Amino acid sequence: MRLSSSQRETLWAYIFLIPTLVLFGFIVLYPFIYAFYLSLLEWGIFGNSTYTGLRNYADMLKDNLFWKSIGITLHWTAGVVPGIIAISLLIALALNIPTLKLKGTFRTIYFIPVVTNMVAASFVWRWLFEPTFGVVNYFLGLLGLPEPGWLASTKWALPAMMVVGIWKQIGFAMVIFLAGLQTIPKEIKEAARIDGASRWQEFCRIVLPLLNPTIVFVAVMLVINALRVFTIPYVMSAGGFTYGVPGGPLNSTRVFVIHIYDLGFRQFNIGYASANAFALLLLIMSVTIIQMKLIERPFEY
Amino acid sequence: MRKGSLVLTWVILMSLCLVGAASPQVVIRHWQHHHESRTPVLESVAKEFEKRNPGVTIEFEPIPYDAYFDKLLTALASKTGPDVFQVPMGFGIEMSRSGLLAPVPESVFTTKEIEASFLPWTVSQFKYNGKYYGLPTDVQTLVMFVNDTLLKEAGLDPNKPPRTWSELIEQSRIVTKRDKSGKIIQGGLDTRYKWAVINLFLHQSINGPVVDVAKKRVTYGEREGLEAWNLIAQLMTGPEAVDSPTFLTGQMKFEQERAAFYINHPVTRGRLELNHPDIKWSVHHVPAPDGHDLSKPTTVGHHWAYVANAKTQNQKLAWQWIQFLASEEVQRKWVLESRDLPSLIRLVNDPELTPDLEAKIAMDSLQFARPFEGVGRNDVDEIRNEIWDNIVIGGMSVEKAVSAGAMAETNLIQRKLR
Repeated sequence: MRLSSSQRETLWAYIFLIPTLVLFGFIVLYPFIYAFYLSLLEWGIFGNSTYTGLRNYADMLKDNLFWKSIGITLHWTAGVVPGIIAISLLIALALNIPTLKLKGTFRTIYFIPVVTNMVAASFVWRWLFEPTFGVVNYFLGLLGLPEPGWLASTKWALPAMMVVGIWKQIGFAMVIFLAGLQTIPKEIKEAARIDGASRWQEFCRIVLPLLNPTIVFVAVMLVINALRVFTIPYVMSAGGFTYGVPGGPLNSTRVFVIHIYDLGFRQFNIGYASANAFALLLLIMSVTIIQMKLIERPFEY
Repeated sequence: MRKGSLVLTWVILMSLCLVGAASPQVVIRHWQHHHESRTPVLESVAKEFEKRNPGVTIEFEPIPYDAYFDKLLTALASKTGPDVFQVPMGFGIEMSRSGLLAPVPESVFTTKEIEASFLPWTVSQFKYNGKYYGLPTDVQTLVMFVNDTLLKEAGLDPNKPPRTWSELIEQSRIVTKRDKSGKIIQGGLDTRYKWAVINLFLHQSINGPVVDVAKKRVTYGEREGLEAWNLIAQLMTGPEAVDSPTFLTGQMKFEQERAAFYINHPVTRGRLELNHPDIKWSVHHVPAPDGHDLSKPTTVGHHWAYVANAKTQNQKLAWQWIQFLASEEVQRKWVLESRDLPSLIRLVNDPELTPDLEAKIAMDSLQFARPFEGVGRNDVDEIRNEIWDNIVIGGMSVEKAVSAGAMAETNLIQRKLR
């Protein structure tokens, strides 16, 4: 049998794809299907498993902690993502000023948190937020402001962790915004200035619209990261030799991945934890699709 | 030339075969959580076992406590678990029934030998259907650590630490210091190890079972249990609190000399000696509820157990290794070097194991120990911690918080033991 040139090309394409597909099958597809299978079982590591159909999903919808952890995760996302975008965009705009000196140094400084070990950084932040002798409350005291209980308070623990979440990711977003800003043609800005546009008009009418694909990318990445957040609330609530409960105090920082972790690896309810993991997948997919529909704007120049 | 190559290949192959033959034939993978004073002892004991059993390698992996259960349970679920590992006594009932563990073979210990040799409470949780599934290690009680310097500074006598709950409240309040705004800057009692504080008071206060396994319920929602929770409320809330969640949140208060009293296991001596040699501390019996016999201050006994994986290919050898770990010879090392307590009855009154006053008090506390009661570990801790947090942080009434917690734990037990 003789294959046409295009058929041969297609065949070779599939042959080259085989290694990737095999890898994908083993490390993504198989665990994915197996996790779904687990979500249909009542399986508590120490005992035998029982097939329960969709009961885990039905129980999940009636579970107060499920809704509470979704609420906390969305709260985290709503606070952290806009915070990072606003601050990192400002920094990127500042670093994009042609006359600014020591650009490389500033970029490095802002990028350091991205490459800092998150567990170590969370420990340091925990000390900074310590209510009695911590640096944050020391300065608040000097300014005559109230000194919250931070990580020991159900009201302030999540905001304290959100500060760390913003600090950690500003550098990542800044680098991408900076790259996006540098792709905007100078000619368009120059033409606007000749036409008498102010700096603010230039930013609103030219820079922001042309930066839209970058903003969409950054926002989608940050939202996905925010919905999957684990390390910061875990370490700051329970890391180290402190006997703390992950997601504490009183579940006030129980983000969704901590909820799944707690169900699976502390309460050993693997089937129920798997069902919750699928709920997270659905949540991330839905939010990402809605987000792309809402903020993506086609443009041409 | 060709003949030379063949000879060389033959020599290399034979050498490889010889190396293979000389290398250890059996590997026992051993997992336990890391502890500063216990890990070095296990390393030296493993070397000794290997020396006495040529051809056997003990592949010891100390795992940080935070990650221990994640790693162990994932490995067991995926059938890649170690041959030998340790589990806390709270896992005993569930694990022994689960089929995950291999029972102690008669060739290692008969049931009668186990019952005649070990303190009954250090093996009872691992008995199921007439067989034993684990041998004890890391036997601990709860004792009270006192910072002698802070007590002297407060005008108290370190040799007369609190013996009753009332004295604990009184002395803790004397030691506690506050700044102008009323924030605690030096605490009376370091309560960060909530497990110890909660369970000590509960097991001291309740005369009957704390967890009634036969009836699948907890009893701490009743009068005696409420007394214990009220003591916690007295220590932790109001203007005379002796510790607070906002005081050195997540920090080691006792080790930083910011708290005078600390309730923890005797093994903590090993950690303090290694990491905090400058602190002047002493060990005492825990304070007892008012009106109780002060010569017998009830404390909580807790232990872990070494168990063998039912899936191990080397079950007999795995149990021989555990037998060695629980032997008199090795228990002496555990007691003297890592500051554990013994589980063998014949070692409990051995004067060689109590070279100083601290060791003697720790050993004596074994006489007053009642075993920890709880069906589970983290899940049980979370429920009891939540009661604490509801009272201390949430401002909930003791009765309401305890009632909700007792119901949650009873439901948990019923789900696990159905």
